[in-house]
Amino acid sequence: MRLTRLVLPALLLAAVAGPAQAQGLGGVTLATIPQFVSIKIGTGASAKTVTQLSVPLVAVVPIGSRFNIDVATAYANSDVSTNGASVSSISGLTDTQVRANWTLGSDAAVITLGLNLPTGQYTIPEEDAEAAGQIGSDFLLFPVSSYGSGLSTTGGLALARTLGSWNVGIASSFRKSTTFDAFKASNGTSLQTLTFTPADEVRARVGVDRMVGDGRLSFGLTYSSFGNDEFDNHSYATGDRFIGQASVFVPVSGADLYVSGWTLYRAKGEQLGGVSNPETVSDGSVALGLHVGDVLVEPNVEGRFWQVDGVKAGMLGNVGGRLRFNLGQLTILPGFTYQFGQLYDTANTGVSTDVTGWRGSLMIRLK
Amino acid sequence: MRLPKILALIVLCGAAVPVAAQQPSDKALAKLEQARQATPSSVAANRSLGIWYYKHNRFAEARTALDVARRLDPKDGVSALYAGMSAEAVEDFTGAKDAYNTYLQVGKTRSVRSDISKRLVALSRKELHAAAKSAIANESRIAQQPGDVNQVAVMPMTFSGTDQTLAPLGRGLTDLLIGDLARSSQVQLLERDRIQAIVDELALAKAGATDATSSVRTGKLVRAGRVVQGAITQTGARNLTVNAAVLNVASAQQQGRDVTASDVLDQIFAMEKNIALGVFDQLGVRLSAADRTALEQRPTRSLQAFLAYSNGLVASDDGRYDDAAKFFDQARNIDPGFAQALQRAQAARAAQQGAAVTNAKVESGLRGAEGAAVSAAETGTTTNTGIGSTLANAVGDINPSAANNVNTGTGGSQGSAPPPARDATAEKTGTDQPAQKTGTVTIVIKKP
Repeated sequence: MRLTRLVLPALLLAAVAGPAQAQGLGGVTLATIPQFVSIKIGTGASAKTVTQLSVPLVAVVPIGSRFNIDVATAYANSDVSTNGASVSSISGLTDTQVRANWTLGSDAAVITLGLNLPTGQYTIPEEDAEAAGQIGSDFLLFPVSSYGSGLSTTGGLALARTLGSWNVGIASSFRKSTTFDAFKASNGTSLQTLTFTPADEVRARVGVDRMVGDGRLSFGLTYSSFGNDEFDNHSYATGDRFIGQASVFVPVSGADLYVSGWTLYRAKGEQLGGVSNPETVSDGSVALGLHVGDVLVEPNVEGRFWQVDGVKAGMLGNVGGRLRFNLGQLTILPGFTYQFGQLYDTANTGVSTDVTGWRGSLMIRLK
Repeated sequence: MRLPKILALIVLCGAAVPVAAQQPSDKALAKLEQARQATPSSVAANRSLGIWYYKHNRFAEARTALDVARRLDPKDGVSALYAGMSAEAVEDFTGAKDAYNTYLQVGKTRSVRSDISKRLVALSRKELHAAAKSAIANESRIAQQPGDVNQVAVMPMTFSGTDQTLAPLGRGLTDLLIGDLARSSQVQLLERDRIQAIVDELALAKAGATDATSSVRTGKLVRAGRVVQGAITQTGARNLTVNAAVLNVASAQQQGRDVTASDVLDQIFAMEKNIALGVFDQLGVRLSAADRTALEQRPTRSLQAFLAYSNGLVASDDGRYDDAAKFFDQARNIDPGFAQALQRAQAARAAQQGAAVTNAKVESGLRGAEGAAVSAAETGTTTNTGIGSTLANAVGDINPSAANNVNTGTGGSQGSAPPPARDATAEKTGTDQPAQKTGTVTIVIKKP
């Protein structure tokens, strides 16, 4: 079974990219974006460090001018440690996403069909649950947030048209998920395998954008409505999600200025043992693209704010930079970010915990 | 005194306006050149630069940049389209056809594809005449290379007589004769349009002087091994004589004897069949029984329909596609079974429409991402700000995948994107909440 999970993504990537390469690559894009993230929560001997090394692999293959298929998977190693000693760790492949997009008309509509293949690591032992869980934080945002969510299919339709000087896009999709073995937990006498069925999801999006001088201004709003998650035959309500996004890109004096922001709101839901309070994560970033010879240098700053049930829960600042240059047919984008901030006790006790960390990435794209 | 000052001011303003208008354009060029220098392998950068050059009549530079964009992304329709228009501007019609055909395969704007299909038909005539001019310009070199003896060129038949309304029969009979001779696989017939283009360029048809010397010259220019030349002579009010002869291009000598057929005008199709059989004999071609049976087929039995068809050929050769379409329609109306007339009418109509397709019409017809790519080039940007990216964002959001991250380009922020999907199991167990505490997560399931 483990071998199948390893071989299947490789076969899919090879099947998609192989014939295209035989034809001289054509319009095929191959990419990998290795990233390493280390976030330390707290100080001193009791501090906890969450690290993740992820290596995603992506192949995007156009078939004709209107159809394309992409395959994406990743290898990730996630670890939670205290005092330099690992207390919870999980590593392996994640699920593999295969997606087909069919464009209709002159960029008027796209029919999209996705398949999430369960090639990831499932049935997580109890002692590894923390590592598997911490990477799912919507506040800390690890590159790989989940090792597996079971076999699922997503079908959607996106439409776009021009209204005056604005482009307007609307889209909707439905995701149907299936049951999988999620955890192995002790019931006191023996290990019990707990099944999990993610709720089906209906997602809708409205996006608008327009030219602003030589740049571009865009807004987007996404709404996700969920049914109930089923955990070991128990049903738990899942809070709906709203994501609002805005960005502007403007060339300024030979440089590219990029300002963006987003807010995620998750409504109240249920979780094991109680209520899952509503939470909001807001993020804003500014990046500047400077052309230095053949290299694009992109310094950036970013701030993130997290609230749980209306109470301040965390703040995070990122300062970093990225380079972009070409080596033959390769586009290389190395990047580094330093992170710092605090987590707050949501019981309004005034207690806070320092958060520091860094992340390094190296995107390599071949086209 | 006041008037001269005003006039001087107007002149100064007139001189200043072009300079002022040029400045943003130069700025756009500088930005595009900088973008290409920064990312030489960027399709968008090369495409935008090529479009800018095209729009400023710098066609050679446009072709260089657009060819790079096409090599980088053979499926980029806009690059192919502008490469075609740039090639056409410098009269490289073969290059233009190649680029236009690429756009037909990968271009996304339906109306432009339709325009380009029509334009290709009109372009064929330009291409033939350009090839003819080129052949004549290189005649001394081409004449040194002997043509294949099996390559046969049928020259346009001349007409001499009092009734000039019958003169177009020369083109019609030539067309029929080529069709009949092509039924044998032992010879390869050169296209009538190609021969006609050479003849037109040599102004032979105009002079009505198709003699052996000029036929041999034409044969050399099209690299034919042998040439069939013919003449129609009106010998009475309703009588014709048709003569034909085969010339060997290499020796410039007649091969075999003259072939002649004489009869009343109404028997013109029978005369043409006799001429065809005679020419086969002179070419040394032995026809099989099946070939002879096939040769008996006639596209029409109506003299009036054929005369209208012949008039259509003359109009088409002259580039008068509207007239040509009317003549072919007329032929089709007289004889609804005249299939060749229908095909010619459709081609003439397409060529007529194609000739009316201007570059400005093509450019203004571009829609969606293709239109936006051109708009971006005009302002000196290479960013895809079109409807295509709007659509791509929508798709990426409703059906998220790690593949979304691949297309991060210039201006793509390193700032974090919102989480594309939730981790359902972590959310349900509450293990996704960052905290300093560590330890084993105990999952307790309440039994109902």
